Amino acid sequence: MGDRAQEIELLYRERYGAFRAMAASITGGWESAVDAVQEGFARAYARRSSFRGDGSLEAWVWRIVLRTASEQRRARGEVSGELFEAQLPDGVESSPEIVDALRRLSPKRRLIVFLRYFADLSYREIAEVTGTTEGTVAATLSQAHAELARMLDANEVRP
Amino acid sequence: VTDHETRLRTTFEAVRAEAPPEEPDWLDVVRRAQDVPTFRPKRRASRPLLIAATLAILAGILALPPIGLGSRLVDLVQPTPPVKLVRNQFASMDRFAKGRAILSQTRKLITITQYGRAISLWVAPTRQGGACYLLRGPSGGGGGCIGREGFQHLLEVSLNGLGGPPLKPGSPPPTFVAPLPGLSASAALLAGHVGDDASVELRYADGTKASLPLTEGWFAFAVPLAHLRRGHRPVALVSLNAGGKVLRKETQLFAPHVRVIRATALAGSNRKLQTTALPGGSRAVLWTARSKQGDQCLAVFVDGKSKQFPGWNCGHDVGRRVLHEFGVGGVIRNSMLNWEPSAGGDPPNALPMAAGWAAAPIVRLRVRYADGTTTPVALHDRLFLYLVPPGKRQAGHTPSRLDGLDASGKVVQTLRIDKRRCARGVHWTCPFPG
Repeated sequence: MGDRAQEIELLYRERYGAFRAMAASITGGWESAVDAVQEGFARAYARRSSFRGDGSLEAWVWRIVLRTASEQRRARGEVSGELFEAQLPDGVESSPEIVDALRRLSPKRRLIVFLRYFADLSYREIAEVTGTTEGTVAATLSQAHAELARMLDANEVRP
Repeated sequence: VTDHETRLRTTFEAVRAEAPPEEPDWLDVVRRAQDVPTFRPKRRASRPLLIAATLAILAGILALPPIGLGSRLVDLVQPTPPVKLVRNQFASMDRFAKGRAILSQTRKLITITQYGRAISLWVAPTRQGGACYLLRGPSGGGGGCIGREGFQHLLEVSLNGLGGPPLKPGSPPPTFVAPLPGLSASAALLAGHVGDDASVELRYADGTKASLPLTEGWFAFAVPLAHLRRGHRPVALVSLNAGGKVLRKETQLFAPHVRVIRATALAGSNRKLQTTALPGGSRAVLWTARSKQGDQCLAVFVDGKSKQFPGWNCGHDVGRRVLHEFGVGGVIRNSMLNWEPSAGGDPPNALPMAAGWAAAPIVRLRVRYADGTTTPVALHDRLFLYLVPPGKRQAGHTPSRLDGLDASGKVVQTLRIDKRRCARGVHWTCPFPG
């Protein structure tokens, strides 16, 4: 179990920024994202012996942090119908048309868009985090792009 | 890439750019973990299972590099040391470099930040034309003393508290300190000096590069977190003259697994030095070997099942006096004794053990306990493996000192054994008293 602890610590140090960005896309704030990452990793570290090895340790930790971020959001009273619903992080308001388009995406598509473009995760990582396949991620992103393009083009004011 | 995708990326990049600086804090994670309720099995595990689990934990921990990750950057979190402490460190380092450091001219030359914490480069000239340097945060760091030739013509680099090359008189000046295996953060801090008109450049695996700012020829640089990721890590540190010609290029020690060499690379040189019986019929075995570079290696395996794990510690300092290294308890200077604790499992089932070495002229070791008793510790080829006996694991009886004795029986060095010698952040359950 010692090397598992080391793996978790190494993952934390190597991907801290990505975890924080992912959590921010759930909690909607950087401070709450940091708390979610710390708490999520603490849970993973404390419960590492319960990791069954039926997937990668990294994916297991990703899911714990994602769930922790979601729980923190719900604990603040922001109850959502979706377990993991991406939220617009602080600062996106500067692009109102993007904000509007993202808000109109379905929760699932929005989450995957955030994980891809905000948290900068690879297709494989997104698949592991969300418990789907890379193919599903690619298809969902493609659908999200098409939907975003439709919404943004419709709003565009052309000379 | 479509137009809207570009807009999406641009928007998110702008948000990320506004984000507060990243300040990962692993110790906080470990602290929080202690409050996390863990899952309990419904049935009590059988004794053999408990023993097996304990030994598995022990094997894992013993297989870790003997110097833990957690303590490294953690050493950089305490208040800034006064100049007097730095002078003392320079004086200690210069005893071996014999450059006759001018301690009164010790000064803080550059301050940078990493993870929001200040790290300073301290320097002092030597009367022989060289310099002593120390890149350190509040209570830890790395550095050395270099001679005139190295100071004038070569690039010098030190990393943060990751151990240093020997600073013997007449030996080549220090270059890179080998990063710990597989730990990207280990190559996070660079410092050094180049001669007049030279510049320093850090090259990354993704093809980008950074020109490092110089102050009086010195540089101190924290590798950005974005470049501590796979595919983006530093691959070379280069010094160039005014015409752009490469004067020196360091690449080897950015590679992972420099310090720890896989057991397969040591085939034929492995020797079993000691076997220690553990509860449940298991055995911990102390091994030694030679690395390709001719250094001594140390490893401890439990029940032989950990042989595939690259748990070998090979290096210039194994079995030798550690002149200047950053151990879990802070800076180790001129130490003939090396003691690396391991705690298998959580209390009360932890099996406190330690492995390490004693350099010449030490030929015998003994452990002193808090209750005043002592016990000899066998030394094999300068290495040892020590399991704290069951009767010495309770408060008031635990090991308190490690004595190194020479051939005449004289104690030439004593090491205090306490919590500071447990690798914080990794072995957060420490079997030794504080």
